[in-house]
Amino acid sequence: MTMTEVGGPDNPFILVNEPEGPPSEKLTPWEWIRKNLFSSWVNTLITLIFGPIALYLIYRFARFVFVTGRWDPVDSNLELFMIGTYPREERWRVVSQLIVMSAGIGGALGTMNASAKARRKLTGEEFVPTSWRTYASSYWSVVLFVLVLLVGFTDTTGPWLMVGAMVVLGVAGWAATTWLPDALRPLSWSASALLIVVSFQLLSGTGGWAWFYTVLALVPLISGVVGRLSPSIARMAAPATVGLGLAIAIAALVTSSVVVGLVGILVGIYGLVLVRQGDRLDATRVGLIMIASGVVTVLYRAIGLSGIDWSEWSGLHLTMTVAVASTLLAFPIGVLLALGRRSSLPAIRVMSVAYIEFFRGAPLITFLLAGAFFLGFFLNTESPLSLITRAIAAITLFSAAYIAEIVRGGLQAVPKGQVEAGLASGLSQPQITRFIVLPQALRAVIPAMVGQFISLFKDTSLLGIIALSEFLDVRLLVHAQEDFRGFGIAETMTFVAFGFWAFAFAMSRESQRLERRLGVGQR
Amino acid sequence: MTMVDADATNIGTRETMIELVDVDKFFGDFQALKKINMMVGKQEVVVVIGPSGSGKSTLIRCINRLEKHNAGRIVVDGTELSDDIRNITEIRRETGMVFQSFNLFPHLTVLDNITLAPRQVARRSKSEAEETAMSLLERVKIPEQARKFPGQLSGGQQQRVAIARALAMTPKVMLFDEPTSALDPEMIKEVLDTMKDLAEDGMTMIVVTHEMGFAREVADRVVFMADGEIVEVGSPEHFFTNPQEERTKLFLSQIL
Repeated sequence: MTMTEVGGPDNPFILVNEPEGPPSEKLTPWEWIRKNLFSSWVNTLITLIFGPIALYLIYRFARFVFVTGRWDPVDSNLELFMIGTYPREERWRVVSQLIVMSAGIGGALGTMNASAKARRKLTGEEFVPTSWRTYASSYWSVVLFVLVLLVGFTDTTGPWLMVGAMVVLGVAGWAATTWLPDALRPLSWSASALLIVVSFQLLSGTGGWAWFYTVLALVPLISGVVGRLSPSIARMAAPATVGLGLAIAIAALVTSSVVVGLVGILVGIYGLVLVRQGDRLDATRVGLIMIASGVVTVLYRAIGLSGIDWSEWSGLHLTMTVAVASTLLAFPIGVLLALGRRSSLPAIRVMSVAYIEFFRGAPLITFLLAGAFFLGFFLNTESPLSLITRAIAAITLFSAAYIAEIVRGGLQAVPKGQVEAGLASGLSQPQITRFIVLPQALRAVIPAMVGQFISLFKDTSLLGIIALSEFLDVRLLVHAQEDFRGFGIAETMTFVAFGFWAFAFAMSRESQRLERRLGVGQR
Repeated sequence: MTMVDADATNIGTRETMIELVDVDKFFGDFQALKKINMMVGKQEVVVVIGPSGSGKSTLIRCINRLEKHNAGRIVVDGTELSDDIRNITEIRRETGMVFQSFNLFPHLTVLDNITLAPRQVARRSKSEAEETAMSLLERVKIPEQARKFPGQLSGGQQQRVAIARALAMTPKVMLFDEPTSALDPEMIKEVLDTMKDLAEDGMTMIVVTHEMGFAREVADRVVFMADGEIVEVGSPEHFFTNPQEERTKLFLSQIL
């Protein structure tokens, strides 16, 4: 039985090898039928009644899909389903986003694999790499969906080339990071994260907060490099880098943004405190991150790639963006709320409970409508946020309340002895939460959490209500066309349902796999 | 034949390490500790025995404030335990504790279990903390398990890791709360041997246990508790061969 760890840039998931199931019996088809369908007279009766019904339904469905279904509305509007009303002359951005992102995701998976392998080597266990069959059993529904799109609804070579490039670059990223020496692990992390960040900047441009995400992606690299500095160099580097960082923050305060400048100065002061405490490595890290912020900002100004406004995004592309953004945002907020609910400070506890009960008390649709339409009335001002931003905010705030309750369950499941062991060794309550309780609690609630994320993903179909053309709502555009008015409605609906199912099913399978690998329930 | 020292505060010529004066502890209406007076000298090994529910565990859990005592004074190495979090932290840093159920952190490797507090509380560097951890693992004789997770170790090995983890903060006192009660019989010896080594190295220890062999061999004094009170105190020879109190005789006759 193996225990696992969550945390640290070098080892986000230490995973156990896939447990093998019991050897499956080999049955001939005839034996299988006897054993499963006609083992007793009750079973025989059930088989005789429901067998024909099931076969008939399958027959009708297959007939609909392959014979009677009129798929022209999907066939001639595939691009509309994928990217909606996104300006056609800017299509290259979406295409390059997908390709660059594939490389980044491939790289991240490979790095994860490599760090699991390195960790295994230390514990002296055999490392069994995740096999293609395992990936296939998790992701076959997505692959099927992509194949249906390509084979069924594509006449040109463009999409084939794009998917081909995605696969090739994804595998290349995976292979490169898998075989890179262990010493370069921080580089793999940063490179993979950078590719994913840049892929979004291909759409959103290099303005605004783009520099921030880029610097975030560079943190593992900076941290890793600093960790290797010799003490004598670190002694000089710490005050120098923090000083330069402070200068950059002051420059930012004067030249561009007051807020960014002030936050930068606060971070710089924290760096100075670290220098005084003699924590030279962390001080150097802080300094270098500040310098990187300055460099990236200047660089991005120089590149000056302008983005496409949020409001142009739609279709499956919008659905995925909103789902991923809301998931990433709702998770930390939910965790904080769960901790707040257990806080010993009454004010924080009451506020957390009030938040959770408020957002769990009304349907998501009310928050979407409020975000879209009422907020302007309440605040008596034109909202500066785009409609999509407000939609993401509504879904995030709503889901965070549910995630908070899920995490709370996990927190309660951590035995009291764990906290006592932490207290007895002198750790403070926040340290116990961060290093002992949370890692164990989060691991225990993965299945419930993924269930919430699947539900969030499907809830994005409500965006149509506030006039955002997500994947489902694109149907209205299709059926508004002269050719397809009131025609092929069942077909477009089936197509959209298939799309949602393909991704939700893959998430569910992946969570089952993660659950097994993290050894949940085999403590 | 040693003198009977029925007074639990008699530490002879040793310097005081731990002092409990009139300590009361209530759980609701139930009084778990009744006016406990006790002293532990430097480098002394005190074994606390008694029937279950007698307040043994509560006694040592009060010393590092896992339980809050309701009345009386507890002084550890000159620091009095108060509601001030700094005092509590100070005392917890000076006392290591080993639990019946090990309470190792299952999501961290053995090495990370041991280095967590030195790195986060004492702010030692990673390499320094790991060096200390490895030497502690040598001391408890399982250096080869450093990179494994607790779930991969036997109970005896886990408890020895827990001892190493408690030692990592270089405590002045070690508290043992029934360290062998959750172990299979064949693993008890390895843990007791580790504790014996520790005692020989001059560690101040309070041990709650049912291992009478350990008490006889290692203890400087044996304290017998029943119903939240200290009933009898004495050197091991006196205690096991010539108990004075009826309650003690009854208990010994039941377990020996």
